[in-house]
Amino acid sequence: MYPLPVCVTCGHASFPPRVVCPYCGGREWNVADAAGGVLEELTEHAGVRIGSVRTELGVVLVARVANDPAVDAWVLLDADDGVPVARPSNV
Amino acid sequence: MVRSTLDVRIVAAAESPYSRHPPAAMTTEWLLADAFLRVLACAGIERREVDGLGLSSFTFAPDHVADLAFRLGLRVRWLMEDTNGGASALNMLQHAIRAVEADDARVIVLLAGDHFPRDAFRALVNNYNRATAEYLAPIPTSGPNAVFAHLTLRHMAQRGLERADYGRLVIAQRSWAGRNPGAVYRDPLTMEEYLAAPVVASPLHRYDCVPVVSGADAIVVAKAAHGVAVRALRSLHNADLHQGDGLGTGLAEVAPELWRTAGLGPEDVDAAYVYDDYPAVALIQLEELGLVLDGDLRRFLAEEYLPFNTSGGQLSAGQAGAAGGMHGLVEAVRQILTGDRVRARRVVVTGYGMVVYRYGTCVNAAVLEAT
Repeated sequence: MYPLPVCVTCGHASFPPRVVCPYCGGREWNVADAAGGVLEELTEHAGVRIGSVRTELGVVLVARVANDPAVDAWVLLDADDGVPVARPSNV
Repeated sequence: MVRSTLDVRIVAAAESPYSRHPPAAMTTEWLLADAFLRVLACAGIERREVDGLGLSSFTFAPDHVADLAFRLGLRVRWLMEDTNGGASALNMLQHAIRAVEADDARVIVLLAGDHFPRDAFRALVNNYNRATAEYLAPIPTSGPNAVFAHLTLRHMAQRGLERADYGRLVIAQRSWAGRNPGAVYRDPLTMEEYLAAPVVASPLHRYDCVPVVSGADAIVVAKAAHGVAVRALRSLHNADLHQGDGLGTGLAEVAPELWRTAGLGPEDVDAAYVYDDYPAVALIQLEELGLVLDGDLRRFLAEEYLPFNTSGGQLSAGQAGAAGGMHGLVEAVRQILTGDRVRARRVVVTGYGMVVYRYGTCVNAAVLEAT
């Protein structure tokens, strides 16, 4: 699970956190957990695997990628000290 | 013969030579001062004539532009500092033109430069903004290459491009760099060498990434009878509210107004200077400005019918931090005034920068014309 800010007024998730909701102008936020998403792009830099994950709440997270999920596969999300981590859904 | 009137123009441009391995005693203020003195010599004006100063620099901190005025011994009526990286030069130019038009200042020097001693570049990219410090640096992403690798993967999928297509852009710029003694990479690059270069963050390899250098750039804006006129300048920042994929920038939206204001079209320019932190970003801008005349990117790259980034661009000449935003502008002005690499009377220049999270959020473009 990765906690995402969700606008109280319109329900849209937004990340990184904002002050004002870009959809409706609301400024009150709840937190909703994203369990996972689709790994849309994957690269490796300086020995670290880094992916873009389109979460079930719509926003795209840049995540550290653990193990070896396939691109376009569903991945599970966790927070490691606030940082998104993606791992294959079968591990 | 048409009689020229005194009007706001860019009258000179200069660059303090870029260096990957500057001397240990090098400082940002030395580079900025060097670019300042070079551009004064180029313009044929005295230091005491300068009454406006603009600055963009990441590494001049904790000093600011007022400190720079002090260090350069300048009394000025107009000061500005722009923190928007690759978009800073055209931002400052936009303000400087209005200031000279309004007689707030008569001779404005705009400076951009950075010096990266050991570890300074890493410190900059890890603390670029809060989103980076809190959510990217701890991954660790170690700079912007990973998110631009993702952007390039999206671009490849959307446009049906392969690595070799980006290679054609890099190789074309490299061939210009061979004629620029100031470029970091000057040797001709073959497609084999491009493709076989060490991987940085797949699909980005070494020559898809800018060499980091220390350096500084400068221009002078003043009323003059001759020089480089800015026919139009448009900016649009945070165009998609960072809810898109980065494959479109604000340029697509402002391009029609840019060309209409300039009284020119994309087919009228002799050269283009697009911000090239990565090849995909340069291609996106070329397309958004309408410079890929029939929309066929592969033909544009294969036929090279429009000269672009004739210094070699940042990909071959180097990226000196915030000076990266002024590098193309300086080269454009130089080619209009001297034509030592390309005969150009009318050009378009862009800026792009400020990675909020996944891609750059600031863009601008200017159409310049010899007068």
